[in-house]
Amino acid sequence: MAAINLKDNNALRPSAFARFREAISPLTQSKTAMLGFIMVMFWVIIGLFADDILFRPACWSEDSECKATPWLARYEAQQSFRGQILKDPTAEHWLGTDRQGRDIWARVAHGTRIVLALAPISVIVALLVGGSLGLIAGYFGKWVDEIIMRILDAMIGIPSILMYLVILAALGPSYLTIVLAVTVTGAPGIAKLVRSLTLDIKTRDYIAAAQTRGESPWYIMFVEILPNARGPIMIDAMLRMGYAVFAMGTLGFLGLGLPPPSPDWGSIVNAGRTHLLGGHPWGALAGSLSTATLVLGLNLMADGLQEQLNKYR
Amino acid sequence: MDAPVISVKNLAISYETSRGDVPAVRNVTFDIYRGQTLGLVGESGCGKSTVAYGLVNYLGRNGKISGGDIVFQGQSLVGRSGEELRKLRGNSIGMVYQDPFTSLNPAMNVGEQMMEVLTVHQKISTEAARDKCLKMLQRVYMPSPEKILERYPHQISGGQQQRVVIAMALLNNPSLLIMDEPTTALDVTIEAAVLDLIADLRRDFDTAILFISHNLGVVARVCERVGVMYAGELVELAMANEIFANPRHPYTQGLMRALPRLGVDKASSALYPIRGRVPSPSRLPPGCTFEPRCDYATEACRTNKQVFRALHTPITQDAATEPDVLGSHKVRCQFAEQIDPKAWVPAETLALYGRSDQFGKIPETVLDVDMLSTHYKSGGTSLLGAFGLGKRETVKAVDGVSFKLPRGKSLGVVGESGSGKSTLVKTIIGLEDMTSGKAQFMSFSLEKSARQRDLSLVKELQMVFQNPDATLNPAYSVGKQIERPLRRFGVVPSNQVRDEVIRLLREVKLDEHYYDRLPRQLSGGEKQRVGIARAFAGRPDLVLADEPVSALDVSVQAAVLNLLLGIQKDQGTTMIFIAHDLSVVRFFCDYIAVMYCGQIMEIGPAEAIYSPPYHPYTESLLAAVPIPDPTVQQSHIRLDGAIPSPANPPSGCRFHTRCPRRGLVPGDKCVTTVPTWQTIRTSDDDNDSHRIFCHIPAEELSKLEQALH
Amino acid sequence: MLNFIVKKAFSLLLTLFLASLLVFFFLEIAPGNIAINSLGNTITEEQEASFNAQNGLDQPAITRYIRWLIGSDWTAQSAVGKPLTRLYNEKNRQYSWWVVDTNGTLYQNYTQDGETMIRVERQPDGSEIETEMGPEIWKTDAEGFPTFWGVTREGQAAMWVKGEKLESWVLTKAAWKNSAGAPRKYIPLQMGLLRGDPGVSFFTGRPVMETLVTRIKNTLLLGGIAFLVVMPLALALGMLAGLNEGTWIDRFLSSTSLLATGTPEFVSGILLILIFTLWLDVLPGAVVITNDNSLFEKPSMLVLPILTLTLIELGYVLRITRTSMVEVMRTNYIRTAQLKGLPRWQIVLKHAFKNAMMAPITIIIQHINWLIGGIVVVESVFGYPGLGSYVREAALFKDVFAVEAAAMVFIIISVFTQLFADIIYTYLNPRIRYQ
Repeated sequence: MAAINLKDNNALRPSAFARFREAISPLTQSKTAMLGFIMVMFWVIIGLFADDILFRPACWSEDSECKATPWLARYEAQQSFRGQILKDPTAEHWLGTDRQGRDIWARVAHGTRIVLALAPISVIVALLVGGSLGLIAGYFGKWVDEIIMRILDAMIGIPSILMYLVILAALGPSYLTIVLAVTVTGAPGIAKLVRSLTLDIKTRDYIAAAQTRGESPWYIMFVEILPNARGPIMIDAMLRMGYAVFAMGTLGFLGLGLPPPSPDWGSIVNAGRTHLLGGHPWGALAGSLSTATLVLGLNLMADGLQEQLNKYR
Repeated sequence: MDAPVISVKNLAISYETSRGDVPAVRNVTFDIYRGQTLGLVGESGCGKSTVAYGLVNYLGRNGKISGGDIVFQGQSLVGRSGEELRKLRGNSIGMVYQDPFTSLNPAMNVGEQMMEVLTVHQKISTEAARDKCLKMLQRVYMPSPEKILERYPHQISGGQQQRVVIAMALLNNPSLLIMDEPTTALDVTIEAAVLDLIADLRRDFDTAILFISHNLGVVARVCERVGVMYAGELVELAMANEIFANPRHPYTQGLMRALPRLGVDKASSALYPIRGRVPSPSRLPPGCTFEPRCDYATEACRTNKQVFRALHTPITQDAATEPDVLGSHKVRCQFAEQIDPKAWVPAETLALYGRSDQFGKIPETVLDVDMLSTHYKSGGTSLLGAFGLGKRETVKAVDGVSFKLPRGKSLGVVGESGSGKSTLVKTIIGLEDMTSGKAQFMSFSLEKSARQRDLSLVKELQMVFQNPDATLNPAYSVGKQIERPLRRFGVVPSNQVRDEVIRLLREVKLDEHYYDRLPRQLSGGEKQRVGIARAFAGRPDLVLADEPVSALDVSVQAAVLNLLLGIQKDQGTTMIFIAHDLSVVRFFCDYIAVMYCGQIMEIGPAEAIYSPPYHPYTESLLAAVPIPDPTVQQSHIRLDGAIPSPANPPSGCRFHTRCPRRGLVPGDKCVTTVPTWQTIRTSDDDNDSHRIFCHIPAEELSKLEQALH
Repeated sequence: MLNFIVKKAFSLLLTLFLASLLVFFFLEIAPGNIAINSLGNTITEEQEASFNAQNGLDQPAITRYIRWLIGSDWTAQSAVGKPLTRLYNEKNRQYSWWVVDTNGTLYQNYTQDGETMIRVERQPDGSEIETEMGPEIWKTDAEGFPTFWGVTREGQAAMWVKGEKLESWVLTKAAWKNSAGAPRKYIPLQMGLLRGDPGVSFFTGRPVMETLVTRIKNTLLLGGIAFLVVMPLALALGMLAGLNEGTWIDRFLSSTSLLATGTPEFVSGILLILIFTLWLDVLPGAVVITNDNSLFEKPSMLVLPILTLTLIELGYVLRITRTSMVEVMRTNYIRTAQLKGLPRWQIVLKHAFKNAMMAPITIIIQHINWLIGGIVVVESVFGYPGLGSYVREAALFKDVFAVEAAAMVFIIISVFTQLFADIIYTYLNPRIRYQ
């Protein structure tokens, strides 16, 4: 008996490493999720190391410019090469050059950073707004729920592309507008998800137990309910991150993305597509496939994690 | 003698998982003959349902019969093609399921679903099939069967759904009927009616029935032969009378000791749980599967697999090698003949928790509830309702309930679902708002909701919940969850919180290693213990327990009941204990209130409730409750009709629509007039009086026959 | 059941209303000046003010919203005191507004000096006769000014004040033209969105509605065909995958559909153009419209746009249907059906199909919003002259009325499709049908 207890005791206080392993186990257990994770990490690494911004704090100020990493981005995003206009890929220019003679690969690599910064930021903002609304609607119910949900339903009823177009047409393209657009279109969906999770979780006895302790609604919402909703929320966030990348690409493609000379992927596609039928597909292709792989990676991760979550149930 | 309808020899079933095959069922051997009912009992996870589905080889994609043989009407079912099995299913083998509602297709009406059983297995015209279905519905005593055929499953009640499923299973006159927990989802009065029906049908159709249940009482009522399963094995098989009177396997004996018998209370006897827990099928003990929990285990048990054999035969003589004679008694224990259950001594002596009088002659009243009502609105279905304007129904969940509860005592509240017992408790603790009436705890009014109450009042009222899986927050460790009330109520200085948590864990018989565990690493019983530790952490004066043991297995239930009794005695806590199991309430409580449709029908000392004079509703409940003892005779009183909706309660006496004793009251007094309380017995202690809410005079009620004898 | 539908319809109407508010206020209230957007940033303050006044942009938001939604002619009529009427000119394809005089003749007014009001009377043959009006037309208003209400040549109801020599600026094709004798107040005349007149495009100067009609036709053709291709295919394949859960068919279909949904339409569009137009040279990569029947004369132009739309929608619908089917096949009532001894085809068709359709139908139809997103992109990729490319162009040029109108049309389509889906749902689900 004593021996068993000792063994249990060891199992109870796992090392930090074991706990980390446990935390990411849904990821490592699913091949799908792992594949997605690798695809996303590929772009994360490119984004982080496209230039030496991480290692040279001097280039954070205006005085000194960051240098492109020679083994990665190779060139600056805006560096243009004389006489190298709309060239096919060569050893010198891995993905060819665009109309202004800029290296397409260098632009894609630098553009990664914009995409990978804006997508998570906008999804986090949407999560904060939508999550809070959903929790409040679900927990308080009655007329609070009624009002919040009616408005959110109306917003969901509007196709998101129109939302994007309307917001961008009204406010003009900028980082802020893109974040705003993704928040406005994403928050209602998140709120609905969080609300339905809240409605489910609030019927559990441990919520009643908290209520019988006289806990405040905010304590119950954020401490008792929210942590139990995190699985589905994280998966949803991952999918939404995919949508955000998707949407940014689409906006850029439609000519409503960030103004030139931004090297974000949508803009690269937009610049390249006019030359598509002229036999110079490289710009359009590079931007497109980058977007597609990142979205796919995020979708695969969400899919794999969802599968694992279902298994736990 | 006839050949058995089905003969199972050494059946083994395993499931493929990513970690290899898991043997869910092993060495199961039994025969069932025509007109005979074999009950399979056992706690959850012991493989009884797997056996049922294994018989028709319906084991899902990853399950397979890995050994043994099933002979049905002389032919082996193992290794038959899907098409051959399909022709047997629904035709010569019928099945009835635990949850009738989910077992019926929500998108098809009852008639379509019944008729296809006939049309798929025989050439029959639609009219003839319909006619047969109608006859069968009449046969299962279904009121207005023509209408039922047109209905969709969601439009009929749970009892009716189960009748439909039973009728469906019988349509092709099957030789074998498999029933998997057919009454578990039903209320006790409806359960009794369905069990009667099953007994009737077996007599009329001469079918062999395999009846699976976790409830020993239910099995005792309908089965003439009972098999006990443990950890995937059949450990004992005998005639019902024999197994209940003279169980031979230590596990069966343990189950009997853990079960409160109706009429037994805490003052006169103790419940003895079985220690440890059922091993998981992937980690079975090397020798006897029950060895780690057995009081008689020897070194030999640890290493030797036990053989299923008839009593008084050599310990190696496998029963599967000989025909299964009706009346034989088989056991999987080499010491079966030597063990004398009467000579059993518990490993530790459990104190008896007598009716405590240590608080003086008349204990002070802690809780005083006076004409308490809780009504709430439910959304109407009128057209205007769509705009939020329509009329809404008022559900009178609790309607004019009064009682007093002295310090240190327990009040049991019993009643069927919808009787308002949960709402009553939730109103007292402040989770529901009261509509009218008064409730007073010591000097505090309980008018406000828990959120608005003073923290010092909140601390004194705590709750223990029913569902072990929902009682703990899955996101936090056990320690954190017990800590929260300690910190919130400031029970101990914050540097002593951890020690106090560990003390509480020990008090609920868990050691300190549980501090860091997450709820999903605990068994149901352990979760319930943590829930109890959390409820008692603030040292409350009044604990409300909402069916705290009804989701637990028998052996665990005993341990949790003992635990609650122990803590209650130590801390002098007053308790309200909700349960649907009359034996458990009788065992646990000092007083009992019987609720029906939002009102108390009868209230009084526990022992007074169980014999006349009693309320006709109490009488019906007692007649319906399944007793795990085939020798006990119960009066045959069955309630007709459905439980009325609390949104639209019957006039006069709420029980009049179903009352079997209405004949005793002349005229329509029951329909028109609300009864008055009759006090049967008064004592100096107002709390101790026995009151009945009925028009029938007390003298008449006293003349009712004993429901149990 | 009726309750349910009424409730749904009510909530969808609310959606429409809120959507119109959102669209309108975002576009017209948000920072970013319509005058500068439409006329360029070289305009003077005077010109801007005049532009705003003529187009009613100086009015409070709520007034403009009401005018946009239900029109301004009825307020103008009470100001003028006579009925107004709108005529459509086939030649320059523009609307003109006229006051209907008591004798039935139609007229407009202008003045060059703020003193002499000219009455332009329209003849039945379309020609116009100008006459000077007498001084008796000036009526003293509440503040004591001699005023006159009429309809301008540009289609506004307007109030002139006698002797006031205000200047107005109008940008014609060539240059800015200013004229004296401008009215003090304008009510730009329009019928309003709900009455089929979402206004005049600032960019083309033409009524938005006119362009909209052909564009809607084209888009409905594209979207409709795509929908008809996608739905049966996706539902069938989704059921196939769901019924064969875990097998290679399922894995193939699931991963293909994941790939398809994860690929943005502009990516798949570009890839398809590369493959079928540049490399294989079998299909046209752009839609070229020369006349009204172009699409029917050369239907091969439609293949790639439809294929692109199909790819992304197919994946989504397939996955939803698959999940639903898998869930249904695990339910207890399917177990019951199997243990009744029903053959598999009967279980699938009678028991599983209807239930498996129930969940996805509403989700799928809600996905119409995505289809609309896809349409906008696909139309832009292939230069297809539909509503999608129209709304994109309008957004690019900040043509406010055009964006508003096109967006509202899309939203109306979306909302009514959803209502339709809800009706199908109630039909499929007896729990709602027989409440």
